[in-house]
Amino acid sequence: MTACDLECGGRPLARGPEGRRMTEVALRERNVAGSFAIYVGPMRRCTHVAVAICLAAGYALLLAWFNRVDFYHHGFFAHGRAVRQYEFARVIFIPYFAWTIYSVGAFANWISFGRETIDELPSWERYPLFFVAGAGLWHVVMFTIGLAGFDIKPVAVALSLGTMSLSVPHLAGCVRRLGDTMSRARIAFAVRRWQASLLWVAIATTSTIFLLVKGLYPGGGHDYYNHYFQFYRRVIQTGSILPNDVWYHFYYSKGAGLYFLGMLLTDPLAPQLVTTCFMACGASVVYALLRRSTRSPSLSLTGVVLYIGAFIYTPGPHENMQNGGWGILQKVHELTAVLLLAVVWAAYHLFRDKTTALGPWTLALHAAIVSIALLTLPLTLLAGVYLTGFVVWFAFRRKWRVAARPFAAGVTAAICLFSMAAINYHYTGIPSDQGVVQFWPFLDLTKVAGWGTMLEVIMAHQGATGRQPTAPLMSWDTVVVFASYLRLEIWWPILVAAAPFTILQLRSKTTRAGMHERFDTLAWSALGWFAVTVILVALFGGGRSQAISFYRLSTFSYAPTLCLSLLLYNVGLVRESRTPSSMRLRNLLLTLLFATVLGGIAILNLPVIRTVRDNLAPILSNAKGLATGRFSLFDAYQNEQGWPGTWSFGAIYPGIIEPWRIVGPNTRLWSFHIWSYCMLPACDIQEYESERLSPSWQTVLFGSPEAGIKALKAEGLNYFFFSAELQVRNDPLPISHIFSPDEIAKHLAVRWTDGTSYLLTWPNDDTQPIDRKFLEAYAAAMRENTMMTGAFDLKKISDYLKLHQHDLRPFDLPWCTNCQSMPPIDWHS
Amino acid sequence: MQRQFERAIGIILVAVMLLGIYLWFSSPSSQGPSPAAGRSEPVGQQTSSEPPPEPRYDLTSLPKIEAGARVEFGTDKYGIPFEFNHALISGWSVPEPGGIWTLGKNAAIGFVVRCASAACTSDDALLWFDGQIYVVPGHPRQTITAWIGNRKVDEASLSMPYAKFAIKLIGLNVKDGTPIVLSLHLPDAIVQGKANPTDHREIAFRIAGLRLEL
Repeated sequence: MTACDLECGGRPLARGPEGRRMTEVALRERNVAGSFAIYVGPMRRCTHVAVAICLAAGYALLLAWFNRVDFYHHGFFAHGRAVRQYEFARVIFIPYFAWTIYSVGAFANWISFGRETIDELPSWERYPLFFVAGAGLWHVVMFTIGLAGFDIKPVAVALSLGTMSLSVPHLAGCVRRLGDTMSRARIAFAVRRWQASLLWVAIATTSTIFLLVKGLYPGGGHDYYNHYFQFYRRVIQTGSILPNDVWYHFYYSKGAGLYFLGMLLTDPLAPQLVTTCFMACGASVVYALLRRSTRSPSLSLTGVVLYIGAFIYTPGPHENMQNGGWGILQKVHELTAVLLLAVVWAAYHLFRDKTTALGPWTLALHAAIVSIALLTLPLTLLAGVYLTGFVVWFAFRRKWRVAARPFAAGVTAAICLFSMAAINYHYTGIPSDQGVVQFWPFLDLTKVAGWGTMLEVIMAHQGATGRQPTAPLMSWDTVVVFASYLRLEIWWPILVAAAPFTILQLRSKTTRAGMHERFDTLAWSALGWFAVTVILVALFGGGRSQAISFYRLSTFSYAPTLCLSLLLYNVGLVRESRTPSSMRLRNLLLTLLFATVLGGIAILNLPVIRTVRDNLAPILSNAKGLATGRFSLFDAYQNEQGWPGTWSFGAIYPGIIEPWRIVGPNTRLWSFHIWSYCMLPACDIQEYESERLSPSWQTVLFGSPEAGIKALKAEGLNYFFFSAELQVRNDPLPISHIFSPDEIAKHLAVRWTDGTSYLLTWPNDDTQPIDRKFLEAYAAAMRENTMMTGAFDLKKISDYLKLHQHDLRPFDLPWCTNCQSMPPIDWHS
Repeated sequence: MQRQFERAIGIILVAVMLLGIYLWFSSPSSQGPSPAAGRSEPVGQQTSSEPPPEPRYDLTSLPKIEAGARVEFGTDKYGIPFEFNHALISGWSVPEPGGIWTLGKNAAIGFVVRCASAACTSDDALLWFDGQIYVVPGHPRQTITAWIGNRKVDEASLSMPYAKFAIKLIGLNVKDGTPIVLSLHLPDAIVQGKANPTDHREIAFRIAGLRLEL
């Protein structure tokens, strides 16, 4: 087999004079008024192989550049040309990385189902489908490697370059196909094509803005700075995804293998590049789904424009805006969202009587489910409920053959769910931290103690026990919140504007029949049932008790609801046999109606639109600043104007910069605050409860000061950060003698201060004694520290744990509601 | 029909884009979060290690402030100025509800300590300020250095908009009747710029309250 045989499913063109003649004839036939053609000629034989080899070599050079320059660590404060080069390299990396994901999927399909099956798929379905399959395989491989402790650069480079090298024949085929398409290209201007051209221009524009604002500009928000990023860093540092001190992220982020791969290949800013690849896949799925169900390329392209465009600025409703909004490309939520969209898309194709390319669709569906389980375990339940609905429906209709497909996928989801829970339990003693209250009677506390996170687990249990629904079930607030879980706060104008079209079509039997003709039942049921599933999961999952987190997570509704809105728009436009003049009049009226409704909505929402506009201006200006090199990475992190829920200092608290310089790279720095962000290179800032305080927490908190200091020193915890202007919320350290406001001056000293922020360490020649100004500010901050009031309970719990350390079993926590049968703590001893 | 449909979509898209352009360039609004960074002014020749100019004041006109009691600055809800406003000797703007902004890069505050007990004396008194700090994205920090005469006594670096901070009066024996005149140097004071284009004041800190702790 030659490289040329492995082209992207296209048929080879006739070459030489014959090919030229055929092309000219074809162009003449397609020619319309106002268009002209330029004949370029077919690509020379095997030039495509050379091009493919050059492209693969370019990838190797790109990785070598990232490795040699290491701009993130060495150029963090640089401006100008160096920044432009760096950003350019990152842009180049995105399609390369996407290709390595896609090619693995293509290879798996080619091996499993052969070329003929693959050829049944049009290219606009094949690329996203194979990407999803490839993502699943990559995630499984990276997860296994991570568990084995091989998340290291040589392995990552070998895997990625190996994939790229093996994909050269396939790449050559795609290059040839592209070259042949270009050789037949014509520079055309046809009046009837201007709409499509306009849409392509809109896609290019929104994609560029999206890339600059979300794909390249560093950010991520409060949670990302405090724990997501810290976990990613820890994996790269240790080469392992096994439980570490960024403790609860073991349950959330250990499956983000492609993030780790990207970070190993480039630098710690890679996660947003990886998600950009997925967003491109998401846009392709939106296009493919709409095109298949509406048969309208224009509506499909409109869907892509909206999908990318509305994702550029994602503040969410007011409450969520204050908490940082959503649509954060550095988190795994967006990967899961694309994969859930792929599940809906695959369901639309697979769960029907007659389908083509059954194998590739099935592989993609199962790959997406496996990826979802690895990335966000609770969402496997959502996928399971979604698939169960199809099983029940087809079983009810006695279509057993079709019912077997969602059933098989549901089995995969169940296996993944139990496997991941088992893995969690094996390594940590807890199946999932989200169910810490429900699972408490079954926890393996010996493992928890061995991990050193007993304090954090107990406090998480207390926090989860007190969690209550934010609004009554039967209330308008609940309706609004649930609507936001479907992202209706974004897409409702389309639904409302499309409603008059649909109502208009109900006027006669003929129009109703026409409307029915355009109604793709399978697409409607796939998308509609997904919306219902989301509501069900929100009702019985965390939708009522953790509204902010669930809203951020429910980014998976964004694309399906968009598709549903555009499908409604589609059924409003019924095919009718009328004269051209009456059609023109009708279209004009419909357009006027649509524009009037949309204009009315816009005018009613002027304050919102103005807020968006006012915030988008600095966001775009900053994105341009980084792209042109006016900003350094440091500047970019400190300039988050326009983004919701951010401080004026962005992701780098000014008071932390000098302590970061003093303590050095990758040195533990315990902060008493959750807002002292330190997104500087190799800044190992830690705070309660994102990071584990100490495996010897009982000694530190309740032992003698000497023993506590010895334990902390042994763990490499020698630096502590306090700022007089930041609140201390729930840090347990001040419970101890060492850090109590009354005694801290005896045990610690000031290594550095700017009069507001303090770097404390053990007294030595470089330190100054703690003064009265610090003590007063510290004591005032500790009065707000909620952990100080629960100290008594914690001491008793600690004593109980010590007493039973050789036979540790779940016990009756004072706030526990399902611990009645467990051994109690003697509170009066 | 397909072509008609596509044309309709195209027209709609153009309409939406035109509407978007109109809304984008229509008059700026005061609603929503303030996006703009303040305009950074050159710091000038004076640095935090050089003393600010000595304030001119009349000792007899300085108000007496009780140690331990918090005094307020600005105006009350009826717009009536608080009586201790005249402790702000120079470099301060007009009284507003919520406090008084510093004006420019130097400001001075002075008062005479009143202490009922004869035993109340201290060599490390703290002067607690509370109020608002002008920090915006792109200008995330305000540094305040405090001087007594030619001697720098303390500094504070603030990044949170609502601040409560202390200045140590090191080396000053504070007791009943001691006059305290503090010069504040504010190198990061800026004009608000786009955030509030009609206000050309160079601001850093809005004092709302003061308390002397012996």
